[in-house]
Amino acid sequence: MLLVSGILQGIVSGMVIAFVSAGMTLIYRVSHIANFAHGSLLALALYLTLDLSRRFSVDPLYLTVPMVPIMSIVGWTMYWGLVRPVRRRHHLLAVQLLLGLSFVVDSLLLMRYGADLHLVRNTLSARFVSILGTGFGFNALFAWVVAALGLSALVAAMQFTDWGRKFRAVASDELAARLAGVSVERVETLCWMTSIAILGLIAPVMGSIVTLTPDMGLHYTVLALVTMIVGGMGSLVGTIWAGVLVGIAQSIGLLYLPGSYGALLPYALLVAVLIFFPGGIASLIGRS
Amino acid sequence: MLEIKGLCAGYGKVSVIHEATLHVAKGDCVALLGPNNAGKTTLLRTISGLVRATAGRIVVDGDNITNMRSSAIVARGIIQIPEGRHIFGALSVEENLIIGGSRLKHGPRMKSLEKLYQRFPQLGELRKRSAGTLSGGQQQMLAIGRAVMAEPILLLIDEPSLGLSPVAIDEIFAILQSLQRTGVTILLSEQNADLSLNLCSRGYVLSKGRIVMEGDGHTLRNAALQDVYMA
Repeated sequence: MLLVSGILQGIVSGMVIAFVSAGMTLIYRVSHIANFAHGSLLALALYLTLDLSRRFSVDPLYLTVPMVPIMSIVGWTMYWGLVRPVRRRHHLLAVQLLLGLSFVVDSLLLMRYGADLHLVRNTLSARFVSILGTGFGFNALFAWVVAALGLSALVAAMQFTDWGRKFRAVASDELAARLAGVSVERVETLCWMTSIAILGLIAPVMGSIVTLTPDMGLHYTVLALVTMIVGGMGSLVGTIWAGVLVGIAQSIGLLYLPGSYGALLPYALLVAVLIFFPGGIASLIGRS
Repeated sequence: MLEIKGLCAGYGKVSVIHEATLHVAKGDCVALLGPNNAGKTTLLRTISGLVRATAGRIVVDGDNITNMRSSAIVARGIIQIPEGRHIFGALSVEENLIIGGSRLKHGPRMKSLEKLYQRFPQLGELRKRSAGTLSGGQQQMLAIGRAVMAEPILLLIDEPSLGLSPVAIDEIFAILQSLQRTGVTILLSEQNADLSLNLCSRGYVLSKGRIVMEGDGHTLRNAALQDVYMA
């Protein structure tokens, strides 16, 4: 029974991890860069939600409306201000810049909001429902729904829209995409905006299920990186499966392993995948 | 149609093309000959806006297109079939073709696709296949089809015979010949002089980034060409 509830909780939290990592995966596919600031930008979105909801005393859930455009502007700025100017240089330069940005964001959050722990309460907080004997907060389930719908929309857009086709063309062969008249810059811009906007979409509900600390950014960056690698570096469907798997590994680890060893299980999963299936989940399900 | 005057181009500080001057008349097929590393690919990529020109002008139908963005050049109907085919391996054949028609609006694009399937029934049969699983000859046909989708007025073709079997080469050149008959202007870069001079009426010989010879098929076929390749 404990196992069932562990797996259920893992699936619920894993979908959110998958949604956050999906942005990193999209960026990796067209810009060939791991966004090392991804977790810190998630932290930024979470703190912004907290700040705005306190300042204007509105329910954080309504803040999804301004947060999505705000974060997409952040994505636009990162691409044109940070990534694009160094694209012809060594790719590690962009990685260094992004890592640097994450430290800047983390420090700003610490300066502005202090080291206290925060939770962003909303109308759904403190409401629970029991599924198969496992208690779930309304917020956790709502976050799962948002992430699942968001990911489905993303997968469908990738497969069936003009934008998705152009995105896959650029990811497959940039030179050929340019010669077909696709504006690679426009595709990349849209990709960065979407990927960071995802963080703005999930932050308002996520703020009520995770504890906000100014150093949470790096933790989520690493988690998203693990998910992306387990998923097979660039596969969206692979990333979704990997997110769920990482979520399950996290909750099972916390339930069965003593003390803080539990938190190691997702990394053990990463090592196992790298040894036995270096192509990640994508290579198992035949998706790229 | 295409006028290039005193064009210099290269990568960073390395210049590859030195003061190239050439012209292609409307409806004509002109060959760009020369050994490996002569600068043929760089010249075509400069026309397509992928490599920066450092001097000179590229004029198409009276418009100066030098150093324009590649998407703006494609929008004018100047379409390149790159060396090594560069098909989108992860996409289906049909998706490859649709991307090729990016410069057209949705309606005309679908019409163009229909016309293309009539012209290349083989691509119609393969439409759902993942492009990466096609044979070399089929991939080259797809690369040509993708360019034709854009309804080109000027077609830049880079080494279409590269890495293909003799049978596939014959097939591809038959396709190119039929394309030329429809009135598309073609600039064809090819190492194989014989093949390209069967198709083209005139040609230029490029060596070490300079145009060292120009003339009609007959002139270029004679011994002088051998010297360039041997040098």
